[in-house]
Amino acid sequence: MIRFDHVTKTYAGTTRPALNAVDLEVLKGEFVFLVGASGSGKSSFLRLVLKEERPTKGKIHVLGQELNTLPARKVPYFRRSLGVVFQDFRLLPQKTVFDNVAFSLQVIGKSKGFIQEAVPDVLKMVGLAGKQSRFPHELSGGEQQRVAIARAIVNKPAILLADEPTGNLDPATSAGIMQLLSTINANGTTVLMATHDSGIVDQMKRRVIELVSGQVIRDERAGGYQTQAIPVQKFNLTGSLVAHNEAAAQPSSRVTAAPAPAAAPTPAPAPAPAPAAAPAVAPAPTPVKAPVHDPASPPPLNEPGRRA
Amino acid sequence: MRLGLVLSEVGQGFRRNLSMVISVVLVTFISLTFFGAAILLQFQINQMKGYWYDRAQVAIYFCTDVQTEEPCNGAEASADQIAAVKAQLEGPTLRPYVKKFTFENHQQAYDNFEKQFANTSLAQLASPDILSQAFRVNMKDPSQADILSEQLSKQPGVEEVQDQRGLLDPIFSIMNAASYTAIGIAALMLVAAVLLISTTIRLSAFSRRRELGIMRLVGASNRFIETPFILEGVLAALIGSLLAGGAIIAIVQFFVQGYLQKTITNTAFVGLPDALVVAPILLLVGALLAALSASVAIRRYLKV
Repeated sequence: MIRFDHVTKTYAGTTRPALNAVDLEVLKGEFVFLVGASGSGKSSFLRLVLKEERPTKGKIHVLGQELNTLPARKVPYFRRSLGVVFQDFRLLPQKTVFDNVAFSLQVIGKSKGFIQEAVPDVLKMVGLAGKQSRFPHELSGGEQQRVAIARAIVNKPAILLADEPTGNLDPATSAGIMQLLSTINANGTTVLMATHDSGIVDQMKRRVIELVSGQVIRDERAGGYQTQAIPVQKFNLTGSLVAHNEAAAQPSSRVTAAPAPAAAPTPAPAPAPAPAAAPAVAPAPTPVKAPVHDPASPPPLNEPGRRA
Repeated sequence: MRLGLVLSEVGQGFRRNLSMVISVVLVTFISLTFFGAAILLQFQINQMKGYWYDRAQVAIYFCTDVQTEEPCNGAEASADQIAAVKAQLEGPTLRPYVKKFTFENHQQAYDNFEKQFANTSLAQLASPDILSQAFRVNMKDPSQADILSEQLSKQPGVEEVQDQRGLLDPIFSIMNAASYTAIGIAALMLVAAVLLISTTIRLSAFSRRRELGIMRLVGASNRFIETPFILEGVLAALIGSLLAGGAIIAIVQFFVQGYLQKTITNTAFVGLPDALVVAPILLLVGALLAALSASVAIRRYLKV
């Protein structure tokens, strides 16, 4: 689905790369959280997948296309198989819910009949049936995000990219959105979600990729927001230091261990003893930490919580 | 469906920055009117050249006894001298170049003069004996008049060989200058029009940047995104060029034909057919310029 081969992205006028030699692969049907501090490269990652930016080095394959060689005039057609959701919804304020969703089909030349059929379907799926003719400002934040998700998936994309989709929402509303994203994922769409919301990540138990300063320091199946095992996939010399300090700086991590594979000779100045044989990449760790909040029963889909 | 969508986008764009659209219309209108006027002036020059050069003769004036300077020295050209010139005109050297020639004696010259300057004080001053006798020669090719003057101006009794085309040249150069001035003004105004169109399109794109962002995100093709903007520019410019075409036709119909042609009767002026040739040129130039500048202006928003 998505493969990064040693991808480095350095923005013009800066020396520190936003992404540094990132290698990773996302398979079809996966649900992946992309976590990390602000500026760690999450958004750059998503922008690279969308081909809004081109990598400085390395190759990116998305949906069988090599993005470096994809000609500019084919980019729009490539993007039709991706859906994107943002923290700030990006709805068109002067269009109704229906028109907002229909717009994304109109502009790629879908027929009126198709739109009349597809839009109500997708609105029903995201739990907005009956709110077709509302305007965005009449909806709660959670409902607006549902409209944005409906717009992103109405064309049945293979991949859904979500950049902090719950960043503006309260926990209960977020849980509803996450349930929706899970449903979408269960229907076969690969979901790639950048987030800061530790509660959500801990609760969902999905694959977690953690970025620090543009490097992947963790790639964990069924992981939490913070390291609970030692699943460092790959790092170089400076990376190990960064990763290590990061881990050390997180007192809440119960199991802190120096990420030191056999290949790295530098002794990491770590408080914890470095195990001689680091655990294999991405073991399924037992969740030690309880979720921050417990939205055990998220609101049903068609009642998406209170107004934000 | 898609066409309807595109047109409604264009309509929205027009409503959103109406004042800019109006200024585009006005600037293209004025610049293209100048442009059209310049083309018409060139047409007029060509038409007048055709008209006058056909009629332009080479006049071989003979000496009269009132001419006291060289080469006449106050002596009337003799009949022998006139006959010698006539023989030359009919001779083998000049024959191939001459279409026809007529002789004008004093009385005929006076009659022509009176006719030409009727109702002016000049007509009263003239008398038959001060007007030269002359051969009026029509050349096969008017531009070869130099041959006559080389051959005949040194003949005894010939006062002057005059190519009448020379009299017309100052008029044509004035008209040429006018038409170049009009083209210069038109070029300046067209530059202004192009800049204004691209500014208008940028403004229009800026006010629709949310939609543009979403269109790019969901994969609308570049052509789909840029078409409404290009159409917006082209439509505004087309309205301007239509006005300019109308103005050109009105100028020709009411000023040139309705006023100039009636006042100055001995010259052919450009007519409606010429204006009808110019008007489509204006439409084309206006539309092309607008399409070009709009598509350049919108390109920045299409970068991937």
